[in-house]
Amino acid sequence: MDFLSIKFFIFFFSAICIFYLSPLRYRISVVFPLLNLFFILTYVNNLSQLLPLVVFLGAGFIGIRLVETFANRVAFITSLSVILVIFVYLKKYAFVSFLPFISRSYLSVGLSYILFRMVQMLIDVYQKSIQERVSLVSFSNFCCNFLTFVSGPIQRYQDYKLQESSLGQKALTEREVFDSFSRMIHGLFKVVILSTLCMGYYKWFFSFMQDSTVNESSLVLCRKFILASFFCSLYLYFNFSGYMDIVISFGKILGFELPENFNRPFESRSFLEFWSRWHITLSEWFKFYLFNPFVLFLTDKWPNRKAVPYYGVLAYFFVFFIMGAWHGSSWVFLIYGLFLGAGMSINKLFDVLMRKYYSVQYKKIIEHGLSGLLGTALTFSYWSMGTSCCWLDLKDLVKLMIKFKIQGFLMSFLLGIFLWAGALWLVRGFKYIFGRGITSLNGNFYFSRTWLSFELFIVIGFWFYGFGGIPDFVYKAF
Amino acid sequence: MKNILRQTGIIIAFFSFWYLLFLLLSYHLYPISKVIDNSRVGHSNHVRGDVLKGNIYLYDAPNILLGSWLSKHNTNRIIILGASNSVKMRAAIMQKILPDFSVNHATVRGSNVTQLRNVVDVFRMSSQGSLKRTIFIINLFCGTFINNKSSMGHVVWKNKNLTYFEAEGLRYGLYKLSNNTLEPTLDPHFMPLAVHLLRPFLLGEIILYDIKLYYDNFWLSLHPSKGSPQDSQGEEMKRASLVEWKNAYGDIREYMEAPEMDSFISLCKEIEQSGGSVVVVELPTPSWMHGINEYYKKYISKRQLYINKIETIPRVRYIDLATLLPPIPDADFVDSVHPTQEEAEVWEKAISQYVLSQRRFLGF
Amino acid sequence: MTDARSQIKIRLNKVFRDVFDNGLIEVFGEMTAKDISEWDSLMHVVLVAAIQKEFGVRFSAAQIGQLKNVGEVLDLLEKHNSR
Repeated sequence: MDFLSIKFFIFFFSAICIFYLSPLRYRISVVFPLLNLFFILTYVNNLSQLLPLVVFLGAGFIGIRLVETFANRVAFITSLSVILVIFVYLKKYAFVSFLPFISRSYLSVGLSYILFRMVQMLIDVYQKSIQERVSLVSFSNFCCNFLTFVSGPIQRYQDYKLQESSLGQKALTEREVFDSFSRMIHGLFKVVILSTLCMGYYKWFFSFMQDSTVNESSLVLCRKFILASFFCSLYLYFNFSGYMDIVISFGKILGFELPENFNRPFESRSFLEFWSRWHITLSEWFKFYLFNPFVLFLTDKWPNRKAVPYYGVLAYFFVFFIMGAWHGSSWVFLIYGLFLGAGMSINKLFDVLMRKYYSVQYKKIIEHGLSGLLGTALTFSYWSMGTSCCWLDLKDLVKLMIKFKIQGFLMSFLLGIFLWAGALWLVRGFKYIFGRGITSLNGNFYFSRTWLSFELFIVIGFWFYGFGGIPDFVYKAF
Repeated sequence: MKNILRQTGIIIAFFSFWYLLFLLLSYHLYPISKVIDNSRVGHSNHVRGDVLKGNIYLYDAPNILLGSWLSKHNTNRIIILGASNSVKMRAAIMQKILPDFSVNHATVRGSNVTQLRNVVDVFRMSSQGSLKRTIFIINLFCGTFINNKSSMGHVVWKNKNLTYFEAEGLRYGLYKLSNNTLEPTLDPHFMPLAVHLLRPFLLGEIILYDIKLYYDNFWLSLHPSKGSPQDSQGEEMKRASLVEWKNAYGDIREYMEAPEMDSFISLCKEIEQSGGSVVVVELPTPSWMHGINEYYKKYISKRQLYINKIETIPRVRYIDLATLLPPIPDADFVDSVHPTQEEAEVWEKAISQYVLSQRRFLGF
Repeated sequence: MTDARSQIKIRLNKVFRDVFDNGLIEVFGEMTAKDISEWDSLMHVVLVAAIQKEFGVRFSAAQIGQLKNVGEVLDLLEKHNSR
């Protein structure tokens, strides 16, 4: 079910009514599972398409039970391996293409996010961070929660469990309801209008780049490449964060406090900071269950204070390589992962170097004023170039590398810093001049409702106008 | 639950304010009476130009699109079809030279043969199948023969094989695609009401369209591409236009193939069989393009095939406009296909004079 | 503060000073990563490794990731100690 369809909004408002009007004792055990099932069924044409998902979930639940019962490493490794093998098989990764895949179509939406949830539960059960027995109802509600089914946010089981028993019981204040609706409409605005416009511009610049028969000066091509990258990045941001706004605000109305996935990522002053602001729940998952254990392993094995930054470098490459593989099954995503890993490593080593030769307080200086602005622009420019792996296949990427060579990429990168720094400066200036006024106007009851309803009007008008041009939820594909 | 309902009610109430405001504005700015003028399609467009906008037929001619304009027309009509290089032509010019005809512009930017056919079908539908007393002036050039894969492909529609007409009906949920044909989702009696209810959003679309048009013209004025082919500005223009052609026209091996030509010949035959007449006008293009554009070269090598066939159809005439005019300097084109405003009006006059001279042959 | 807790705090303080190579650090309950500029995600893991070694405990992945301040570390260590 498309989140931008009238069907979804009818479903959602019906879900609210059913949820709040149903008896308390049936909400978690009956109503919520039925809503989840209904939502999932809208993605398939017949029940057999659900079979792989059922097998995957079944393997996960059995694995968790095994670990709960036997609580040993063998049970844990076996369960984890089975889940990972099923996932890799169902996602048809290129490195297992020799296997006979299922030829019939089946539901693969949401598998990645279910994997994250199940692995998190498995590890936490094994390490006794989840102490109470995981029931089938809680497990299926958690893994198949219709709000987070398609693309997260990746909530932790313990956080979900804390809220499960009080779902729908807490009366929302008017302010909370208004804030949720407000966020929902802002999310729609981002997806319907902003991401569509950015996608249009990115495709426009991209189409210019495609033609290799026309000779263009390097600077022109660099400009087009970096602008295509910028608009692609903005398209990803508005699309994903817009959907998150919709999902989180819906969750709030139902009584769910879902974790945030974005915290103004384009204000990050370093690449290291970026990953604490972009797709936060995914970054945290990787940090908790991959990065930390990996570094811990290295530190335990070879305890050497001086080697710590290099352990970090290794860990970044390892983690981002896996993250790249998660994004897609083709080789270009592995290059993406390595590119991100390189960015993190360079940033980390720079950080270490600056502390060593300057002062531990260098961050306070470098992250403000003009240097802070340049740091933000550098971060965005680097990351945007990385996202070109999302819109270029391997053949095009190689062609681009041959055409650009190192100088071309460097020129694009520097041009990108300059352009983004300029744009940021303008935006900050605008905020500085008008920010306070806008905040005080938003506090007025009539103005805020008038503005919000106008935003909704524009969104509906644009949705009609855009028809079919409104991009689908891009992270559904991962 | 109570607070949820209350806040929902408040937002709906405020939303209704905007809705009613735009609805009233739409009636004030574009009164209905002009829109259902049976003899002049696109009459309400006179402020913006005498063309049907490709994507807002519903607003300008809802009755036509919805097929509910069933009244018989009892005047001689001229319907001008074509693509964006016909947009600047002024119906008023032709109207003066042919006062006993009601002249209507139904050009649609980006039209290929399939989209021309859509427009003709709409007129046929609204005239109960008869196209008697109607001359269709089809302005064409090499771009008319872009295949559907390329033509609709570059437009950002979900279903990439939709023409503008089809997309228009689908966009607002008034039609649905069933077995490759459009079927109304509502009872035809409710269609006009549905269009009325959509007016506030359609008005917003027209405003957006006008803003875009203003922006495009402003951009063009900042980057005049009238440089001669020899100077550097002209060279860059040529290079950019070749890229655009390649992006728009697709694979040259699939361009100007039999299906498109056959479709065009059938279109002329169908018009004639429905009682109408056709004047096919080959529009000029700048000379600098002729030597370097692969699509143009292919078009020129193949066009005689369809010209020979259409000239055998009764009440169908073909004319290469360049033969009626003195040599056109490249400066009279703003790019590789579009004329300046002045040149477009020269073309309109020449076509009008030609139609006047051929009216007996065309059945008038 | 109980005796056990203050003993733990003294040992923890030593760990912090060793890991961050700063003899002036004095830990307190509300202390977070913001109070020590070198305390980033990488050093957090190194710190945890040192704490695990010093106290002979093993934290879970969730615990390592979710530790917000020194007070929470002290709570965890006190809990381990009391077992």
